[in-house]
Amino acid sequence: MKCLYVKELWQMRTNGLVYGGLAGLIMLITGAALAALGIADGFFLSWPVFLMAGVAPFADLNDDFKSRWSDLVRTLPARRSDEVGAKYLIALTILGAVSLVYIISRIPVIAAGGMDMGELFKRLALLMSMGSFAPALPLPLAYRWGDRGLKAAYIVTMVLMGMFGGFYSTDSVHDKMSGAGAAVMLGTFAALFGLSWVISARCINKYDR
Amino acid sequence: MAENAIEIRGVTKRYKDFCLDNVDLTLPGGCILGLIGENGAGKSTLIKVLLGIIHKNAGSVKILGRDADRELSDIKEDIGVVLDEVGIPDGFRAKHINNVMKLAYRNWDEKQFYDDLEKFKIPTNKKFKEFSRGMKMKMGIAIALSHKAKLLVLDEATNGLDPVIRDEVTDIFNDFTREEDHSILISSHIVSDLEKLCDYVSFIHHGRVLLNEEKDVLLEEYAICHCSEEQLASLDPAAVKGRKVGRYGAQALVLRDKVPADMNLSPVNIEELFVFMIKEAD
Repeated sequence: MKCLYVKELWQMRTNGLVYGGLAGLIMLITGAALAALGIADGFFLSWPVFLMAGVAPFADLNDDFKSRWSDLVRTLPARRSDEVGAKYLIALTILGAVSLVYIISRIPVIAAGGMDMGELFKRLALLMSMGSFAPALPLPLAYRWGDRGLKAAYIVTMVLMGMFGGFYSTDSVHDKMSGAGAAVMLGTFAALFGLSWVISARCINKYDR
Repeated sequence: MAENAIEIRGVTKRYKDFCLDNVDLTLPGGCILGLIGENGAGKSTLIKVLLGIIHKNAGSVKILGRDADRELSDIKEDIGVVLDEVGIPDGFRAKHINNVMKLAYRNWDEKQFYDDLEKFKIPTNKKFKEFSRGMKMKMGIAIALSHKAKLLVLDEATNGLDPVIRDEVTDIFNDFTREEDHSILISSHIVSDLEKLCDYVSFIHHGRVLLNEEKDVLLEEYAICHCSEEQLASLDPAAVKGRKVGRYGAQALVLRDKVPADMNLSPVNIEELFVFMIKEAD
């Protein structure tokens, strides 16, 4: 599993994660600056970053199919479920890193009185639910139907994410949502992510691509 | 006598439009087996089943004396694999490959990997996508040789290489089998590559193995008979394994000891043997 996880990290790096990460960082900081100065709510600059983070693992999987790593990996001394595990772990790693940057970028906003901790949690819950949902749908389809499944899932996911993003961007959603509601939402999406992992592991063990 | 490196018994893999049908195959330890078949014959499917890349519908596989159904993940420590597409991500350089593989294999030998890259003249600072096909293949071979594998499985690894590189690669494989417990299964549709290299040959056609035999035995047992159509018709049908009739006479692949001694026979090579047998099977 460790070797496959390291491969994912290297692949993210060689696929331009540095530039993508830099762009994401600039967007989060700009959003935070706008919010701290009271010019605008920076949320509209945050959700695309979480969307990109969520999409990264299955863009990576698409590259696996293209390069035929998806065949080579099965010649290594690893179980098929490790292949899946590495992909979900990298998804969590990216989401964790982006969430951490988001929290840090909001410290000045909180200090300036533009946001309290409860608000930060609600917004982070919305963003993390989006970031975790993005890979949760396509990965099982890709492990069941290969690159054909991945392409179909990619289109569906992008449409859904666009809709979610627009929905989440409206102030009324996080204004009306309670802290408990946000926690339930985050828990539900975490459970969906876990379920997706289990289904992917079953698919990869049972079916050939 | 060394144990068999590979024992495949009754392996079946069914697709909608293709079936690998009840395949038996044996690679004795310390030997090189050439799996020969035309495009789409089932070579890659058989290798994928062998390595667990795809599931089989029936049959059993033993690798290096161990049951592949139960211990495949562990057995793979001892198998070096080069597929027709090597499978390294495009943006990877040698250091990335080394970093991943040293975590994948218990016996990964970093020094040997870099020594092989130098020996094969593979640049370590170039991205994999910038390599020529020959360099990609040699990178695949360097990976396969760097974890003290006892068995190499090579799927169409020499296809598309220029003659000089094919010759270099052949030397590498010959060096590998100097160790008496090292074996190679190599598939190709380029028969001349395998003829030089192999101790055993196996013909696969439409998903069925037509023969699996020692090369020298085949070359001794079979011959090409040059005769007229009438003479061909008079031969024992059991002696004739393939035929080609033209304007100027007939040629037949025959079993030497089943045809009269006065027949005009010439030695057969593996390519002729393959072509005659495939045409006869059709």
